Order: sequence, then structure tokens, then C-alpha cells
Amino acid sequence: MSTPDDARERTVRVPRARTLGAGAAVLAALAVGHVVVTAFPVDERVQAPFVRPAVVGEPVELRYARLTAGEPTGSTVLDPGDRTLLATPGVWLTVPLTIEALGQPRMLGFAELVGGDGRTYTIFTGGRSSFLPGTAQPGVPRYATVRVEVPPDAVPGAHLRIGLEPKDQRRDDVADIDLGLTRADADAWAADDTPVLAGPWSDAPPERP
Amino acid sequence: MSTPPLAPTASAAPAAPTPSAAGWWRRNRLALVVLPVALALALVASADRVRTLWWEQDLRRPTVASAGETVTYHQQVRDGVSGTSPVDVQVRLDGVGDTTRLPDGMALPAGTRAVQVDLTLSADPDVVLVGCRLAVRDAAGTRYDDVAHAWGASQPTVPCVPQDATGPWPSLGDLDDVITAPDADAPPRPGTWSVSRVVVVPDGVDVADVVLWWQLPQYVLLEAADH
Repeated sequence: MSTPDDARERTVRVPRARTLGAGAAVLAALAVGHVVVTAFPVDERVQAPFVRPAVVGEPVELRYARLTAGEPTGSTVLDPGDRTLLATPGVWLTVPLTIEALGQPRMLGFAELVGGDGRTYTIFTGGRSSFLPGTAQPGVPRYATVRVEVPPDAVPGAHLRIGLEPKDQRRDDVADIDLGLTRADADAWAADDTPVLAGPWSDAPPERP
Repeated sequence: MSTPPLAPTASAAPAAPTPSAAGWWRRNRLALVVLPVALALALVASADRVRTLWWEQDLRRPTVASAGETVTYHQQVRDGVSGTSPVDVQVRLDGVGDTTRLPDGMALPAGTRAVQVDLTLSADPDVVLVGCRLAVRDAAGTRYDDVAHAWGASQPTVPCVPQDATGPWPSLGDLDDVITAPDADAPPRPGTWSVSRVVVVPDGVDVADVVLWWQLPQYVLLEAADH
């Protein structure tokens, strides 16, 4: 009678200690994995866009295009070039861009203004604040104007960001253009009602006034 | 994993607490053989995202025709409704070169010139060829697309079929019953036809090949004569 009981006790006791040890090892591995993942937030860094800093008048090389921002202008009234005028209680900020597509025809679909007030102003492909450059062919410079309606506080220190995909800039180049704007620019534009022109895109260079 | 049964035989009991190293390798030999295979399969499975995310969003799988050669091209094109429809077509590049005969209204942007692409195609009249895209490339692989409506001109929307006899259009599913097909009044497409398109390229660009595609990543690559 006693021999089977002894045997059962031995075989049960030893694996239980081993099972506990294995369970603890699995939990420890999970904990270490969690620490590794949270201590090094690689996901964000792996997915982050490649931000290419630029300034007005200087070309910036992106994976898909060469981009040059012209001198920004502003006013309280915008002339979209379709015989209407748009007024704002803030300011209209316009930035002429020259786009030279690289590799294949490209349609730049992303623009946003990172204001000096810390806010980000979305620029859609339609609506009041818009950027519609169409599809640019390689070797044929495309001239288009970004227009964005912002409060005057956003103007000093504003940066313009331009990218390729409208909804997804992960892992791709994004131009970050320092527009070099000051409080004096903001005040002057907020008090000005001379319309600024932001016409449709063109493959002909805009006429400089 | 290796928990012995709760009611073992008396003979198995003494061996269990201290298994020898050789015994461990022996007991896990099956798992040891399977492990590298499983590892390889896991890597292959995760690599699949590379293909679907971006690799197939470009011209990747060419069907090549050397200069003047007729190439037979086949592809099952997803029609966006339910299934696929076959593209079965023969294509030949008759020529590609500078032209001064521009489409009506075309004004070339500064620093560019016009290149004319002449193609001869053959296909059954019931094959859906609407939806094709045409482009020329230089030796570096930079692509210059054929654009139907640009620079003041309007060329036919579909570059690879006769304008007045396009043949059938892709199915729109249930909408087919309520709208009139664009080719309803058109005569059937001939068995063999030629098309000419004008593509705008920058000055100094040498056309190395012409590409024609329906759905990425497959495409027809037609090499230009002097390359």
C-alpha cells in the first residue's frame, strides 16, 4: 500500500516545483520583454517621418521631389484667382512653392502649418486653407501656392511642412520649412486688406510684381 | 510540458528526477528538428508585409519586348467589383521620337519637348483594355507619364485603344444595369489597331523604353530602337 503512495508523492512534488520554476521564468521573460519595449520606444522612432529642415529660397531634397519655398506673403484678404475674394478676421498666409518631381510623376498631397503659437493648422486639398499642386512631371517645374488661414499669433516662427501622402507621412521624407516670419510681419498683415494672390498651380513661372 | 502522468508505473519513477543530458536531446529531438523550420516560416510570414506595403505599388514585374518585337501580354486584372478580368493583348512599339505635330491646343512648358509614341496592338474585341496607362522612361528609369489633359491639349482618355472604338469598359457591378456603357454606340474594336500618343519630356531626356500597364506591379516594357 505504501509504495504507490510514496511514488505518487515523489512524482507530483518534483514536477510541481519545476512547473512553478518554468512559470516564473515565463513571467520573467514577459516582464523583461515589456521593459525592453517600453524603455526603448523604437516603434515611434522607426515610423517617424524623415524631417528635412529648410529655409525660404533654399531647395530641399526629398525622396520624391526637390522643393523650394518662395517669400511668404500675407493679408486679411485673399484672391484665389477665380474672381472672388476671401476675407478673414485672422490673416491669410501664402507661400509660393516650386516642385520638381524626382523619379516619376508625383502629386504632393500633404501640407500643414506648425504655428509659432504651438498649434498645428491643417491644410487640406480643398476648403479655405488649401494646397493643390496637381501631379508634377519630372523635369517640369510645378509652381503652386499654399494658402492657410491662421490667427496672427501663429505667424511669428511658423514652419510649413510638406509631404507626399495626404494621410500617412510615416517613414517618408517631410520638408520642414522655416518661413522666417516675425511679430512685425503678423501685425503688418493683420492690418492690411490688400488682396494677396494665391492662384491655381501652373507649369509657367509666376510673374513677379 | 514534460509533466509525467500522475499515475506512473513504479519503474518510471526513479528515472524522472535526474534525466541525463543525452536523454533531454533525445526526448526533444522532434522539437529540435521543427524549430529551425518554424523560425524560417515565421520570418517568411513577416516579410510578406514588405511586398504588400510598398513593393507592389510600382512597376516591378516587366514583360519585356526588345525593339520592334511583338510581345504577348497576359494579366488577370482585379476589376474592383467582385472578380478579375483578363488582359490578353499583343503589343509592338513602332517608334518613339521627337515630333512637332502637337495635339490641338498644346503649348509646351519651357524646357520641354514633345515625343510621339506609336504602338500597334492586337486583341479580341471583347477583352477589356480600358484602364491602361502609358509612360516613357529614360536610361536612369525616371518615368514621364502620358497625360490626357494637360498643357492646353486634350488627348483621348485611354491611350491604348482607338478613340472611337474602345471596346468594352470595366464592369461597375450593379451599376451596369442602370447606366449606359460608354461604348454602347461604338462599333466593335478591330482585331489590330495602331495608336499615337504625344508625351511631354524635359529637354535632354533620351527615351530608353516605353512602358504600358493596367494594374501594378506587372507591366509591358517596350525597348526603344536606339538602346
